[in-house]
Amino acid sequence: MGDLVANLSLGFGAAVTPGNLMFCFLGTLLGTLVGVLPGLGPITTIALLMPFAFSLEPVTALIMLAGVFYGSQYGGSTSAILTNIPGESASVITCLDGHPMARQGRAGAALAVAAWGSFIAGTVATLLIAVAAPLMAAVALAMTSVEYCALMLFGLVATVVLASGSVLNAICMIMVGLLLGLVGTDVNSGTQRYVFGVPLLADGLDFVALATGLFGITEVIQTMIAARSPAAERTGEVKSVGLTGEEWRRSWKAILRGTGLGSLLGILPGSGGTIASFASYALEKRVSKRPEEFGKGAIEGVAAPEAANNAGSQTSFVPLLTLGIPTNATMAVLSGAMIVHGIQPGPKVISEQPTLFWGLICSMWIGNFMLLLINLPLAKLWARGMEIPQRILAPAIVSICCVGVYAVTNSFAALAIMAGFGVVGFVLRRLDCEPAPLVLGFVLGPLLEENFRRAMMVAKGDLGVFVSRPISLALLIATALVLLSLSLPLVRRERSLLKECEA
Amino acid sequence: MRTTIPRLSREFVLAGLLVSFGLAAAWFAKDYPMGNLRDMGPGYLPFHLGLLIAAMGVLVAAMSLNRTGDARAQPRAEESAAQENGDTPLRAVLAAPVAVLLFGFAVERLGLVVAILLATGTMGLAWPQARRREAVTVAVVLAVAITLLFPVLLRVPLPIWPSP
Repeated sequence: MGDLVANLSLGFGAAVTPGNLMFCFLGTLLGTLVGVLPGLGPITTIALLMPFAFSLEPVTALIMLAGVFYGSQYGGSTSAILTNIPGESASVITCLDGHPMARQGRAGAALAVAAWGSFIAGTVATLLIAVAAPLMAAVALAMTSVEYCALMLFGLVATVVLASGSVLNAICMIMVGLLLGLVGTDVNSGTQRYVFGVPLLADGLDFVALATGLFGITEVIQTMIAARSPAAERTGEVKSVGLTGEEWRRSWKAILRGTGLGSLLGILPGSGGTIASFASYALEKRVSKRPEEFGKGAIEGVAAPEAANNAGSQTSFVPLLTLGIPTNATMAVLSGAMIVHGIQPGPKVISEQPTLFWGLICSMWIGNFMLLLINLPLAKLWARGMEIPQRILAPAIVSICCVGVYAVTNSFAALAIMAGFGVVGFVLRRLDCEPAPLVLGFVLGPLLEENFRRAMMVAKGDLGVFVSRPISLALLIATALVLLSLSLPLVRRERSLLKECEA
Repeated sequence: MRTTIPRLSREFVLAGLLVSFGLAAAWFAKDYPMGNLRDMGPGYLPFHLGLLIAAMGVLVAAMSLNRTGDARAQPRAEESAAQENGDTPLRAVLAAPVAVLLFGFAVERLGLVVAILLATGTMGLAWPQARRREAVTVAVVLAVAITLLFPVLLRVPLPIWPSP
């Protein structure tokens, strides 16, 4: 307990400097903006900010980039409520009751409960990370490369199963990503793999170019195609943003339940906030005395998933910071950002960079508080932002992507890679393949190879080592169970429902 | 290019891509030192992963053959939406990548301002129901704003004007 207080005060000391506060604010503000605007997501934004963040102190850079991530979850709910278009995948569920509320003229209450729910969830999740992360890091330090391999396998498989879409396709995408991750100079032997005489490729496929292409450019292509169909409906003037006593009474329990469920699901590998919001909506509907109101503007149906997705996106930092394993695509991008700054995500971050670790955790609480200020009084302004037409936004996104990638690489080859992966991403989506598992595989590729090689060298080529060590065996059994769970009717139904909502 | 590919052929396209990608990866990897499971060389994982990807491609094709029946029975929401949109114009798919490549060609020799004008102009003109005057305005505003933000304000080292 004393440790906790000491750690938190170390963290607040690091987070509360004028510079860090400013970048925390900037990150959350930008995050809200990209969350509101359809077409620009946190992954693209973080990838774009990486070159500019490079010149900052590592802790400041991470505070800003993390702010973009959880800020976008707030912004995503604003566009879900007002226009019925989820700005982010985590706010898909918010559309179900948030938009009906807006149509009934209760947009202000929906926005307020989303903001308060997210803030309460963020506060609880921050405390939870502070307690859970050191424990997990301690376990992680005792793990060898055998356990790491098994854990990465579990993480990759769990992500696939919990995410939407075809499982087979997602597994294929992971493998393609793993292979793309192996491009470049092999660290053990110095052999250049798949370099084809391009100097840029000797350092591996550039992560910023790959992620910006797959998410930013692909999104622009899809917007351009969608631009030929009529625009989405807009509803609801935002009057005052606030909650009545009755509305508080109805939503506080839902917020707490959403927070609990979301925090738990966020730590597990999976797609973080999205799954959390979905599960908590289902839970709320089940425990409610008025299940018939759900889908028609029930305030609990906004409160619980909003709390859950914020809690979940925050606790999804735990596996990254303690095990070094990103469990969703945004964490994969953040992991890339940490490596760019010379920090290897993993159990040693807490002991070797305590200021960075606790500063980042505490900045999340501060950021959530700032988001409350950004969102409650300024909701009307954000509603305006949604009116920027795509034909103005799209050229801006393309130019910012170009400038970002060129600034970090100074290379035409990187721009060509970005353009190429933009088309690849578009083709893959047309073929029912999500780019997120590919990015996850890409980031884990080199890690998996390194650990697998080391494990095999120590075990003298005996694959049996994976089942003879207990933790590794347990993880492999868990992986198998997760795969088997796919055949359960309940899981199938929930996954197809999730897919329906995202379509 | 048409968007309304039926599910069956869609999975075959994916299978074909996976098989050719996997085999190509394995083909190039076979020249790297292979080693063995006990002491893996740089070629070991890429080679086997390539073969595995190709095998997955075959599996995707096999599964789709197996499932043809019930896939026909339930048309999916996404597909009906795609049908409403009709064909995918190649222009819409290629505009952004072409804009990126133009930016790349221009930025080294002609500087950031020209590069942005070219990229945003391409996007603006390729937009469905393009409005020329608006496209030009957007291009100019973006060129000024991005130049002021990145090289000037954030001091990102980028050439602004054509180099002599």
